[in-house]
Amino acid sequence: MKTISNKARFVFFVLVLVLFTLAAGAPFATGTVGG
Amino acid sequence: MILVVAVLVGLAAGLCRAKYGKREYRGYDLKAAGLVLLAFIPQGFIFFLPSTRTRIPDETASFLFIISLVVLIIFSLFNIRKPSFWPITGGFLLNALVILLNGGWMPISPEMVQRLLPDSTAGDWMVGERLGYSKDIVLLPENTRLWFLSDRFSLPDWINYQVAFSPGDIILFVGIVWLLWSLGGPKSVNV
Repeated sequence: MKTISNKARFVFFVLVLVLFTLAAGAPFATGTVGG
Repeated sequence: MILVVAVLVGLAAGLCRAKYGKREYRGYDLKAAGLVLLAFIPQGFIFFLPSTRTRIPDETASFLFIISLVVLIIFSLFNIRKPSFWPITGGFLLNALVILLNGGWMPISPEMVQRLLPDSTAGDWMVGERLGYSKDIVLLPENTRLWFLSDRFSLPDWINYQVAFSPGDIILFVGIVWLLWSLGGPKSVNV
């Protein structure tokens, strides 16, 4: 149970970090959306 | 999207470091993480979802973008005590500062746009206007507040990926890699 919980927390942390990165960064890339 | 590469690189490096040191990759307890989800929602509609970003007027998009940045600033303040989060926060705050001082968009120079979009035709973009559905606005450097913090860097020509990025983006990139790398290190290191 503890392992599952740790994995879930880790996945959530990575998800938050990815969303923060997308929201906080402001690069402009051709051929993509949102930079 | 290029900054997501930092997450992948940092994760790979940190996991390898943990495995090499026979340690468990540590978790990281972000405070008020829900604010990031909250801040991303408007940006998702404005910049990422094709079905919505074409329908939102630029004025509304700019307003929502600024609100999103304010929420992220609050999130950063909640986590300001974590040293490993400082570079990430610093990079974001530099981006937020130049965006807030330039009408709610990240400035990019016409010269940089021409470099990235050499095949664009007249009318594809205009000085003083938002660049497509991106976070950028095309501004002359002399009309840009804190120009040195704008999207003024690009990758070398031999890399087949055209992107403009800011000093804040560079600091963000380095900060993310460093944070994820540090989580694979010994526990005695304060992160």
